[in-house]
Amino acid sequence: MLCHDCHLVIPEPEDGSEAICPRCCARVHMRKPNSMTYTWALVITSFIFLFPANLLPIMRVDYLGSQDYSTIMDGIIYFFKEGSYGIGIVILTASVLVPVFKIAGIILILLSIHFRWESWLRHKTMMFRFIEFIGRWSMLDIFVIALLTVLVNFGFFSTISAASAATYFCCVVISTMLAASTFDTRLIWDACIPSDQDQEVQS
Amino acid sequence: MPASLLIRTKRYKVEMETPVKKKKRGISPIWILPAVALVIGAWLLYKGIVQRPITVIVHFHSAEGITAGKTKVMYKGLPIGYVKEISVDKGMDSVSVILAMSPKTKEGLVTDVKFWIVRPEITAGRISGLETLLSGSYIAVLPGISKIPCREFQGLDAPPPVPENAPGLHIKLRTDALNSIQRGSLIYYRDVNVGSVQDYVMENGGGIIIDAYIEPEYKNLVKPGSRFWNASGITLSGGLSGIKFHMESLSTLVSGGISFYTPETLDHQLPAENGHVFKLYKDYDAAKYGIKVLLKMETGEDMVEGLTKVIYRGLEVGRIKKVRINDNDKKYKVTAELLIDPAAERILRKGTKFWVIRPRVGLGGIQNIGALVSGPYITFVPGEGPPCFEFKVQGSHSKEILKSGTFYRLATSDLSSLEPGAPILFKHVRVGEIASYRLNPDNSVDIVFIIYDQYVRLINRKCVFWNYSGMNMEVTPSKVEINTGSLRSIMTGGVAFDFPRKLYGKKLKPVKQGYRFKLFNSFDDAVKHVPGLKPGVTFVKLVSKGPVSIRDGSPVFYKNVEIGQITQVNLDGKHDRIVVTAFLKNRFLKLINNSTRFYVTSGVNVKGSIRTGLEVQSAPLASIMMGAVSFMNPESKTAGKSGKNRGRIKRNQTFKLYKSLKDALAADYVPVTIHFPDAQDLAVNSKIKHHGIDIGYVQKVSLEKNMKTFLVKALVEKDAAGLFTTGAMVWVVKPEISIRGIKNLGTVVTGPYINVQRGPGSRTTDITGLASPPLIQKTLRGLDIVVEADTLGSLRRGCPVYYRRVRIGTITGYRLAPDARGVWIYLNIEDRFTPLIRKNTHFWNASGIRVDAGLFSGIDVKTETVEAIIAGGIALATPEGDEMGPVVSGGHHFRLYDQPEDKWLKWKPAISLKGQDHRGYPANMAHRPHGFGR
Repeated sequence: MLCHDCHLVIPEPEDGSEAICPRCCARVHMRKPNSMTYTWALVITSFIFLFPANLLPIMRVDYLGSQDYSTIMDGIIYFFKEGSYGIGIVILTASVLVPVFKIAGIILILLSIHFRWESWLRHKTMMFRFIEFIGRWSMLDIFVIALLTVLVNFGFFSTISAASAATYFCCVVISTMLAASTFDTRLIWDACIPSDQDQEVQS
Repeated sequence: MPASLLIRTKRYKVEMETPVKKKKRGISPIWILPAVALVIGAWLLYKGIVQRPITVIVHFHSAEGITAGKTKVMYKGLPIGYVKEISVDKGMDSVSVILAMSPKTKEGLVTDVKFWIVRPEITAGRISGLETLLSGSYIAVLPGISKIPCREFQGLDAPPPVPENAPGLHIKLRTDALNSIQRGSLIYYRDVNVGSVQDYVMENGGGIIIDAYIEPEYKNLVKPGSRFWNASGITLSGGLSGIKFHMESLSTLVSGGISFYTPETLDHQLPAENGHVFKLYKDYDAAKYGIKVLLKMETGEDMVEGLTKVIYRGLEVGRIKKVRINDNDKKYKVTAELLIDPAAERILRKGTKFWVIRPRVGLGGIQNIGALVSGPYITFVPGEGPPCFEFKVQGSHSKEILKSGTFYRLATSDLSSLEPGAPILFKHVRVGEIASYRLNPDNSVDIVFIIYDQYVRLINRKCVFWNYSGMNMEVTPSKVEINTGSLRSIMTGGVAFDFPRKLYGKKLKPVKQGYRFKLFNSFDDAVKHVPGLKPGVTFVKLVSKGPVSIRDGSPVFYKNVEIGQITQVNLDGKHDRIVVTAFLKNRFLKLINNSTRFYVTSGVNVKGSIRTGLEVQSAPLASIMMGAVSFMNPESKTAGKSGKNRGRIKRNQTFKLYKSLKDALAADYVPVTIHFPDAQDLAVNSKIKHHGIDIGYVQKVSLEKNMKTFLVKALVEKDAAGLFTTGAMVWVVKPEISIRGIKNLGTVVTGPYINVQRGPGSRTTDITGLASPPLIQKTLRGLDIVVEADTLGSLRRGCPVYYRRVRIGTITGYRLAPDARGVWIYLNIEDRFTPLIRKNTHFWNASGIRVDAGLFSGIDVKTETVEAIIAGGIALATPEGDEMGPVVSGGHHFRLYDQPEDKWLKWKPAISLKGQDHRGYPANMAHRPHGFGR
């Protein structure tokens, strides 16, 4: 085992308990500890938050005294109705498809590890890399709202403010990103290790 | 692989440390995150379920303005739901609006909940739902009171009325016409909104019943006796006496409204009950409360329902409400229904008399001018007796005299415009009024007037009354001053009185009631009879034979200062003279004595001649406009002759009034008669001059009886009368224009005048004038000599006489010698130069240019002065030493040579002149004018 901090090679503890580098006191482990657990927990969290984020209104528009709430889908539908398909697609992708894709992808990978599916391992790795890459774009909606909130602030005439779903949407994005970062890609490939070895690794 | 590396690896392997072991904990804390997410999610889910909107279907006739997903359901300004979906009902006659209502409304959604759509509504009478212009229409809800839940409703087209059982007061108003009242029109009490119109229905009888709702807190304001009126719109009424502009609040103007008030007398009543029916009056005035009184009258002329007022002592106490024909009575065909203010109730007695006051416009003035504007009104005098509510209108009635006082009488021949009620004024203070008048059997008029108690002390036997027109306009060029009494006194006239000022402050004997005074026509008339009314002035009479351009009020000026005024211009008893009465202020009286001459000033006086220029003298503008009288005192030597003339003048002394200043000045001129063979452009006012000085003027020019000669009557100054002697020469001076110059140019402008030249003989006033100026004119001074010439040549009267080219004299005339062998030319040598003329003096004709030209001598040009070249002249030379001879006397004859001998020109006699001017000026210049012109 190699200490990631001071690169001291230390033997793997036999009993599978957590090892600490005798030289620099860093935690030393073969795989990220509890990676699966963390990822699962975060993915589940983001999955739960996905619903309020999409069902509750994300933006409140006050226009001449009348309030108007709109959910993410309302906005997308609005853009499509207006004929701005490009923007509609971008928002649809960034706000709906990407989080769903991320959650679905991570869950798929987790399940494949769990059930030790050996096929498509390389594709899964590539997919995970893509998920990590795309994670940084999923805040697009929040940025749009933040910008609008600042730009459209004309008191009585017209005001835009974030509504409750924005929080949940943030939670979704944050938890998916965390999930992606806590996941250890090597686990995917552990599926190829023979069962005994795997046992060893797992323990 | 090198061995060393292997060894090193080995060494490390050997030395590889064992990691510190850490115990593995149980469940990872990361699971808190999904747990929290779950909790939040669950909570959101719960909330979503619990707060799930209640779906309600409302059927509307029209879903205009409603948008699915947007339109809200509002209750008291708060959104309690929104429109979820809109669909057309099966029958296509209505729409179903599916509402998502807030779960809080669950209990409230009962059978009688009312829904209606609030849209912006702008009609002529009403603006409502203005807020929906921006926010869009919304659906309003009125909660019900039922307990049965319901999810399907019938929407209303208009806001529902307040339910009958809602707290507050529900009343009904009956009216004939709805006017601009509509559902939602507000009800005001003292301009405070206390309720609204809920609904209205047509009655069977054609009337309209309005359902009105009064808010609970104002419920007690409505009494059974309250009066409601339609407060919509603007009421504008009035006239000269003022304009009344009545407008309820602006909102009632737009949406209509109802106001009400409770008469004070009915304020104690209990509040009205629900369902009480009130009458809705047309307007505020109609709603007024009063006691009904029937008034029978002969004619309903000018009686306007609702407008004609009942006025008692200037206060409105009621109005005519209705006028109708009454067939029962033969004389009183019209019955008017009056509404009298309850406060005036106790006035309504059997003895009370009513009559109508109408404006009267006539030549005599306008009476009751207020009524002219506000229309005739009804007034009354309270009487005694039991209460009564039916009266008959009396005919004309003298105005009631409201103040107590003492009655007196005025005797006059003519009532003029005086009417009962006209004021009696003392220094413009109303101290009484005319009560009545009566025609006496002898056709004179007796006026009875009353002097109010507090002024009775002013009345004494010396009081003078005159008819006072009320307006006194004084126009002077510097200002226009109008003094008026009150408008009323202008219109109705009046009587003013005063008494002599010296009696002011003295204890005066009062006059007993009923004393008869004389009424004068005007103040001036009164002043004439009682001069003491105008203190500090003295009256004089001015008598003129001819017409004068002055009139009453013309000023009397002295040096343009007004010192008095003309009060009257009249013909005297024989109608041939004009008698002008004027007063003069006493402080100027010393300017006037018995010899003072008054004359009429003619505004502008233009004097002028070529020499003196034009002089325009203007009297004060006032005298130009109205004419004026001025006066002058003749020279003191005239007045001084008799000392008594200097004394103060008497009152009403008579003076002669001259037509002009000239006439006044000429008052002591002496008349002279001159006979001229030719009138020669003479005219009245042509001047008579002696040596250039005016001594008189022509008064009259006429043809004499012989039809050949003219008679000129002239006036000359007394002092100058001595000039007119039997030998005096009188001729007319006219402008003469000839090659030798223009003579008497001045007369072109001033006209010809008569020149008088003194002559011998005794004084006379009848003299014959010369047809032309005399050839030889007498001069005042100098030496007159004669030169004898063969021909006159170019010599004429006025030509100069030169000595050494210095002018020393003038040719004054010429004539043929008595034997016709030559011409006698008369010269006048100026006084100073007379020593130059000696017995042996030689004279020669200096006219023209003498040119001697010879082959060897060249050209020799000899002239006297240029003047002499043109006009001709005579030059002279006197020999030196003893040759000159003695000084000649006047009338000496000399010979006039054609040209001088050379030796004459060389003579240089030393002769001392008379009164030589040593200052070096040519002394003859000063006298030069004497040499010209005549």
